[in-house]
Amino acid sequence: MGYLLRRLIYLPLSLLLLSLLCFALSRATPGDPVEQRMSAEGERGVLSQDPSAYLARYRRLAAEMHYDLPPFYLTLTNASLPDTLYRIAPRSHRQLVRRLATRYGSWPNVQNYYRAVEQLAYHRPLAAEAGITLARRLLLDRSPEQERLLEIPAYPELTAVREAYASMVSNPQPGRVLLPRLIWNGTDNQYHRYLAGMLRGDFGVSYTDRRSVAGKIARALPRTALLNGVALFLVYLLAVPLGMYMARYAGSLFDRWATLLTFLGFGIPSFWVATLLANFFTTPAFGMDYFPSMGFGDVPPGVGWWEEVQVRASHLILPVACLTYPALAYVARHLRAAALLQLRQPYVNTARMKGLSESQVLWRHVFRNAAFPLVTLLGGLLPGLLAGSVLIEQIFNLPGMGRLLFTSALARDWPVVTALVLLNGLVTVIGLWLADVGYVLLDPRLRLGKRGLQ
Amino acid sequence: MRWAYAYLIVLVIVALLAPWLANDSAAPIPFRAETTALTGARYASPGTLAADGRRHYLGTDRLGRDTAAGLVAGTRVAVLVGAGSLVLALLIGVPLGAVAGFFGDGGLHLSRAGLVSLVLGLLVGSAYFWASLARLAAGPLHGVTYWVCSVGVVAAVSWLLLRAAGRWVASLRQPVGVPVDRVVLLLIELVSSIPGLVILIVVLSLVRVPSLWLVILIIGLIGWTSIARFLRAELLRIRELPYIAAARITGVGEWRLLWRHALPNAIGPLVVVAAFFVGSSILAEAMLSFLGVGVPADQVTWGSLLQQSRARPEAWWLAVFPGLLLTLTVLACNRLRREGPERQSRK
Repeated sequence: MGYLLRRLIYLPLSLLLLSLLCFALSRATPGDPVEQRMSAEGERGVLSQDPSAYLARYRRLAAEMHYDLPPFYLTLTNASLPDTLYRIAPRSHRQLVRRLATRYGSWPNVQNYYRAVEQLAYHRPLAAEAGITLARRLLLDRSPEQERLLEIPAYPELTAVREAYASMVSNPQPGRVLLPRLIWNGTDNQYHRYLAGMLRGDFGVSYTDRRSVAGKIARALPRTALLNGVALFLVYLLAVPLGMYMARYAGSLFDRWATLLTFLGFGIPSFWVATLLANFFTTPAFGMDYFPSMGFGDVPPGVGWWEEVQVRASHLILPVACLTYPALAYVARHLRAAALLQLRQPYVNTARMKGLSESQVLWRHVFRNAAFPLVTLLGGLLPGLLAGSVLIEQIFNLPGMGRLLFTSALARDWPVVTALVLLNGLVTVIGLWLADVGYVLLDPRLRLGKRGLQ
Repeated sequence: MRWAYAYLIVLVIVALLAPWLANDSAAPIPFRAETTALTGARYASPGTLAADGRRHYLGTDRLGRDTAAGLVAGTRVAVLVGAGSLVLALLIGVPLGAVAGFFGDGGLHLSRAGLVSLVLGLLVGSAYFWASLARLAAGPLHGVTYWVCSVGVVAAVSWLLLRAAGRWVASLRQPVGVPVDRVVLLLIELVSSIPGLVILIVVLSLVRVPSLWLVILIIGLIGWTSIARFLRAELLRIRELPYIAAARITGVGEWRLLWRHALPNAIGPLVVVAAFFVGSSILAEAMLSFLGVGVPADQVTWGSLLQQSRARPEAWWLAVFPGLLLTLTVLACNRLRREGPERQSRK
């Protein structure tokens, strides 16, 4: 049991690392979540007339979403950058300042220049229109070509900006980039809040429609669970007798055909089969429109449970079949191999000589010992089914977890994506752990990890 | 078995000869995969003649692109993804798995000074790269060079210092066993608890400019665990074989023993695992391009052809032919795996 406990320690460790991975991905990818949320709320269009108000609103929203905190417990940076870089609010400004600081090295000069430009761009309503426009262009500039823009006009308002620029450029200290710094930010940081929220069960709100992530998942989860639950049930219901009888009649015509079929079933990509089924049997293209095409089906209120089952079944039969057959083939092949191994053991002959019937030998003795892979495979099947349902749900238009993951990833809806990835990781890790538990429970002779302790 | 080898060889040849097999001049398939015919034959069924008398043997797609030429282009993508991700997975998986399996936790000795400087080099060197050098790097290749230099310099400097200190501190000179096996197993555990396809979909739908190389990179980075795990188990077995002990007695060095004696013995079964890996990465690529993530939009692949059939179910040729090729490829790769998959399952 010590091994299982040790493996149990991996569980939170892997999840922690997965959460770090998600967090790092969400911060490293292009796109500004605050702006995304502003456009989701329809504020971008209104406020774009008034940049100062837009900036103020942006900063308020960033604070609300905790983007004004340091990202992580530690910041690993260098001497050219300040320790409070995260406070510079729109992400685009921060990128500009970071680029300038890396290039010119001395932070006070860069800061002066940035302040001068920002002052002119947003806080001097009486300045000439052209000067303000130029300052805003400077802030948006993606290339280090600030001087080219500064050369053009000669507005009096620009004097301060130009002086700050000249002093920034005239004594560059590029060597300061090479001086590393490590800053401890304390526990009030973005990752800490994200993790704490996650542990409380608060996954945040979606960037795209401001609904709670937990609610979105709660709506999608039962559908995927139904789909995968039925599929998993069918897999084991059919694979156990199939695999056992394949081993029992090994070498027979039945076994050879079943071996070929399971080989094909394991190899033929289920999303291709799903595409074929959806194209041929749910559309009128070839006159074979036998199945309804979209979603889970609508059940009119007040009908009996039998009608409901009928409606659901007609919608679910194709997707469930596509999810079932590869796993079915996989499990049956494994079971056949394991049972064949057991059938060669001497205890099988003993059991036969005791006068047990062939089916008693097969199910009471051989099956118990061959059930090994069934438990192990469950661990691998669970996450595989969930990932596979991304494509199946996409093809059959079922609004479950897979589709939710796909659409939110395309929309860069990070709170939803991270929650789903973590949930999937949780299922994966628990599945792997359950497989180990199954190993030990089924065969007490096994003491896992013994060799590692030597 | 034989058909699988033959099929895979043909596939590679088609991929290599793709520009000569399908182009706009006198080729067996008289179209380029990218040639569109917006005015003429869109969704033309197989065998249709184009306006200039050339024949679309397998029909055309939404933009009037020739399906047969698209299949050839898709073959090229599939082989590229399969081979590329395999090379990456082998580069990571073979050294890690072989060293972990052959040396175990106690077989590899290093003076304490060496071990400490190695760890310091990796930690401090990477941290310094992240803090300073990464900002100066102009591209990914540049960055990798900086990282290697940074790690190397820190490791070398601390090794020199610790070796000098070793004159007075005896414990620094003592050889210690490097727990390679434990570290590699931990790495394998952590990487395999990443939900692969999910991460693939997430990462690839986030990048602005899709590129095939990124697909290859991620598949390789996630998939090396199967190869490392297999090789570790295989070398755990091989290192106990009598011929290794015999070679050791004759004075062959440990590293030479691993690379020249033990590892060649594991290559045969490794080919089988590698074939299976190639099959699943080609399948993953097809799934991704079916979803329309990761692969550039103008690149014709088996998955993108399949995707087009969803919009136009009548165009059965778009659903059947690419799927058939994909299926045959996956089946051929699986076929090479003779023994049951439980051989490489965890101990």
